[in-house]
Amino acid sequence: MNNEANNAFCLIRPPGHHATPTRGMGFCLFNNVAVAAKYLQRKYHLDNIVIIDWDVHHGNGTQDTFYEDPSVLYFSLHRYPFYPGTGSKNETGAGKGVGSTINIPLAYDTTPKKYISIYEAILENDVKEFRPDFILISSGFDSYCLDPIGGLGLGISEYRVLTEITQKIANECCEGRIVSCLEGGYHLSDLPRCIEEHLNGLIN
Amino acid sequence: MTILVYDEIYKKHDTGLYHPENFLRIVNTVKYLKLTGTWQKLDIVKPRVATNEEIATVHSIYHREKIAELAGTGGGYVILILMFHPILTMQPYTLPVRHLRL
Ligand SMILES: [Zn+2]
Repeated sequence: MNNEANNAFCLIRPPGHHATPTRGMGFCLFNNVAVAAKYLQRKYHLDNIVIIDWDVHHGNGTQDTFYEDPSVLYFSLHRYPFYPGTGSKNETGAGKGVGSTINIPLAYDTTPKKYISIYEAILENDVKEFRPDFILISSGFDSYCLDPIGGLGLGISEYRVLTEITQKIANECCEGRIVSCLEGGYHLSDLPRCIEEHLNGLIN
Repeated sequence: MTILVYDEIYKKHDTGLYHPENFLRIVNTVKYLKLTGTWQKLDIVKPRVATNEEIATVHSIYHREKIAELAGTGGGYVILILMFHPILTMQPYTLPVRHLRL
């Protein structure tokens, strides 16, 4: 916000996107990204925050936090049916927040090509139309094809592609402002390579 | 410039080595990034601690107290939560809570 950096990646644990306002679950205690979104709104009076969640699991905690909040667009792609069970297509928000939750449940055999094209379409249309002032990413790398507890067909290099698509939209909408936070990703030797591809996308 | 937010303390949330969400996830990542030279291209920033008030924007007091209580029984470690520095851009900060064995 003070033009000190273009973007940031937070190499943190434990993850946060399953933590709801009232309980921790699925390895998550506090919802890092949700607290960050609230902070940005309060501190910098930003109107519209987008939270993109490409962790293989649905971020039920983040969705709960902002389900009736029209100022935060929550967009998640996740394997479905899968843990934690939420995230069906018809969960789109409630009250004033109707339309500010976008869930894309995906079958286990979804190809990377299809994944990327859906991702790009949502960003080019829904995210852009929302006019974000800031983009937060719940960056889970358990959508990597060899992840021992997740898996959704993505290869290591796909994380760079996803990042570049996101950066392009951020450049167009909000001066490139992205903060990405580590969520899942449990392949101990390939997680670092996935993260590096993501970082390469942010660095450029 | 791209910032990488990191603190050694993230290693100390001890879930046990047989838990998939264990400290090697980030230990291996730091090692690898240093080896390939990506680490050196980043601005490494140490986060600050989040306040109770900031956490309360999302979580109930009951939730916070429950975690603090559970963590108290698990040992003297620390877990961290990410938030943003009030003055500097995109500088996350952290909440020390005692260790919780999940
Ligand atoms: Zn996950």
